[in-house]
Amino acid sequence: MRRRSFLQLVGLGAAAVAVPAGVAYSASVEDALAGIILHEFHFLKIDRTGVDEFVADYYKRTGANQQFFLNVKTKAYYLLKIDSERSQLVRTLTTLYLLSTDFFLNRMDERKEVKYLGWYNPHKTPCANPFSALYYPPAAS
Amino acid sequence: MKSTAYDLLVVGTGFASTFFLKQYLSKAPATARVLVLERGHLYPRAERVKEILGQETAYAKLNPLANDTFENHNRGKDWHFSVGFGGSSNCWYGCTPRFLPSDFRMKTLYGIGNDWPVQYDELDPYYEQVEDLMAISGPAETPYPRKKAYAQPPHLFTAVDTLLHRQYGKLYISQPTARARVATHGRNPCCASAVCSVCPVDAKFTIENSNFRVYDDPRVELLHGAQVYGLELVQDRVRKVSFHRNAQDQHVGAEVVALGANALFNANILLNSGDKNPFTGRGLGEQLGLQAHVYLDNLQSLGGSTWVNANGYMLYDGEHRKEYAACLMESSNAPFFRPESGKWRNMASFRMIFEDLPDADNYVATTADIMKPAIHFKGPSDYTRKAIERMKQRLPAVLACLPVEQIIYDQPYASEAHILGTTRMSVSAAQGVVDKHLRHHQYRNLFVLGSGSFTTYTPANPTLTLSALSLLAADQSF
Repeated sequence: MRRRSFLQLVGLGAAAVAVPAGVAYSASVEDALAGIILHEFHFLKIDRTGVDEFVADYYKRTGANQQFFLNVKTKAYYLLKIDSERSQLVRTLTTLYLLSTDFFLNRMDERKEVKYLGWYNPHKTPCANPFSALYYPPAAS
Repeated sequence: MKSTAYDLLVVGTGFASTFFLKQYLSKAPATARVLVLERGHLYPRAERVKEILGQETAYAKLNPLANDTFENHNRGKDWHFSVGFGGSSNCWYGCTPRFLPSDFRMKTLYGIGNDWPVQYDELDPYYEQVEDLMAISGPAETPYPRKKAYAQPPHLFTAVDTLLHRQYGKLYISQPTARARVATHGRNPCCASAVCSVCPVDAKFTIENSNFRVYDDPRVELLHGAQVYGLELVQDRVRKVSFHRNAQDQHVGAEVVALGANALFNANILLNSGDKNPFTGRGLGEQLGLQAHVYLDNLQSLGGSTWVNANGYMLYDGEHRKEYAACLMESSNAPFFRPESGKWRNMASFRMIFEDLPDADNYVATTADIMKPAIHFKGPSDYTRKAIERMKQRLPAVLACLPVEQIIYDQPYASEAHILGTTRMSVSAAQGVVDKHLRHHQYRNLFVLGSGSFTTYTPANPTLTLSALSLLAADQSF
């Protein structure tokens, strides 16, 4: 790891701890999760209702609301506008969200509104890898 | 049990045991009596899928979790395996490259480790046999010699893989894999769902879907819920096998015994039994892997028909192995992307996998609980660590045929899900525990199967080779 990256991460940790409790509690965890997604993909047209539905599913499936420290961290990342390059938590959340939408089915067309289709689950819906040869057969690759 | 003594007693039902048993049964008389002791129970794939989907299944609590079965003295290091009928075939990802001929001659060629007592040419027909039995998908040309075509056509490349194959030929190939390319023997084609541990479409080979029918053979008696913990060793022979079942200790005799648990539990059983070979339990190891994310300028990585599309051998073999480890590249086709406008799939992702060396300070030891081994692992060798740094220096040149913007490296994974080397194979007892037929140097009616027998730890995935070794052992011993 480069020194600069290390310092950034150290700074992130310190900032997360330092966010005043009052500020951290001013937003709900749901709002924070939605805010992280909207910030990460600010250049896309996103159906906000779908984001809220995804966040509700995320809560339900990951038990995120059971974990106090994770919730505080989530709020801090939201307030500090941390993106996926600097946080694995943000990367996981935002990757899951976009895979759960119609964005890749629409061939990454950024002009179309991004709509939530339902939780991305390859065991419930196999063969859904949007980059595979099923969607991009050799002749079209 | 139907008898008090058997011609053959096999411990475990994973790859090593099942391939050994299959070969044995092909040669044994109709009167042969075989007992198989399996610690766990059958947990069918379809029921595993139900558990993942949050549905009720009566099978979910039948087998212990792997992490509950041993003491891990290094919290930063994981060891992955699956307990139950079929062993780790229930959680493997189905990558089946062969080893290179040079992997078996590390001492002679590079002055590293030891040479294996079995060489590539002798193992070749058994490799072929396993590849046919697993219906392996693979390319026409490989960096290791083969005499016949793979059973299934190769998986499809991504656009990035195509460019690398064009540059490197047989050093960059469609990965040989037990994830089916076309439907076969009840298995469906892989469709790159990338959750291979429990395949949602039953594409990978497992013992459950193998159709071998060895456990239905009338000569074979299979006991579930029977955990072996010791052997009665008398005058350099195994007389009896001790196991725990239904809250009772039981003992059974056998002419020949084959341990096919994994490298942790085979060692634990031997150590519990008083095996004094100084190598027993010592040299525990595996490969080290890390992910390299390669951002590309105006090139999308699309297509590909399976989870790992390709293997790259550009950093694998050569004189550098005198100084640092070989590296095998796996081209991932998981649904990764860049969160950048217009550049979503302008990236490739490679798992860089490094070989390691046996080290006596990494070992399995017994504990007060006779069923539960302790695992001591201090970390990868300097030989491996050096290879990571050299890989980072060399990779930009290797990928020069691609429009690379930048390469981002993750920290190493905590595990490659392999367990190697606690009963290493050698020419004599002065260098290891078993001979080339996987027979214990001292206890000659005892086979110790599986990847614990590996003399050195090549970066290639171990399952194909350990299965071929089981075939060779049974074929040449009976």
